[in-house]
Amino acid sequence: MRYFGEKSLSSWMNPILQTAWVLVLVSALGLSVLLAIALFPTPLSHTCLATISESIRLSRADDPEWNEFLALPALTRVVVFPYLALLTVLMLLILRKARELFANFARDAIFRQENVALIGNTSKLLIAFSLVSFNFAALLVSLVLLVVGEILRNGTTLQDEQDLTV
Amino acid sequence: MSIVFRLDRVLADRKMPLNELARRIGITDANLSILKTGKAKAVRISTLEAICRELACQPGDLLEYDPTRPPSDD
Repeated sequence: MRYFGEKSLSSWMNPILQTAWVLVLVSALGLSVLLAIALFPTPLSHTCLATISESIRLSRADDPEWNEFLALPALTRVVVFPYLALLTVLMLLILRKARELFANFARDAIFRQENVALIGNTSKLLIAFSLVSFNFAALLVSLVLLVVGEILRNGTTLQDEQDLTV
Repeated sequence: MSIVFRLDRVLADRKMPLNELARRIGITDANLSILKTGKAKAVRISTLEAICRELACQPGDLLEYDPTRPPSDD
């Protein structure tokens, strides 16, 4: 199995990550709309939105956490939207950086300063994502990625030296 | 870098163009140009050996230490 260059794992990752980026964006927007409907019943009681709102409420009616959340004041419930927006933005940025990285790998551009910066930025974004979403696994992955970035930095230095060895 | 590669001077003495030397020792013109312009970070012993063989010179004829130049950054 090839990891770099044409028809490699990296070249396959590019369209996959692009699709994931669009899916995350569409899902986040869809989820926001559905949540808004479920949390704040629309005055247009006979519309399709009201039906969706009611079905969401009914499907979660037995969930004590959901009911506890609904019991909160409206202003407190609104906090879920910026939180969701923050998670979405972080995920979109991580996917975009990962796509740029794999695009470089697919072009056989591996030991480059640009990739060192991309891995560094991705790991920082992943650290932020793991802290915001309380995801310990993502935190571990981001720390591993930080170390990989440092290895790539050393590799880039060696590659530069190799290129200038006659 | 305070080590200067005097390849251009030795080539001029032998009246040999750079591309001819590159062809004889089997490295690319671009790589030999890196050596000539002083951008090289390292020289393989095998490359030095081949240059000395083709130009009939000693390594000391090719390398010179110039203390007035700034030292290498690494």
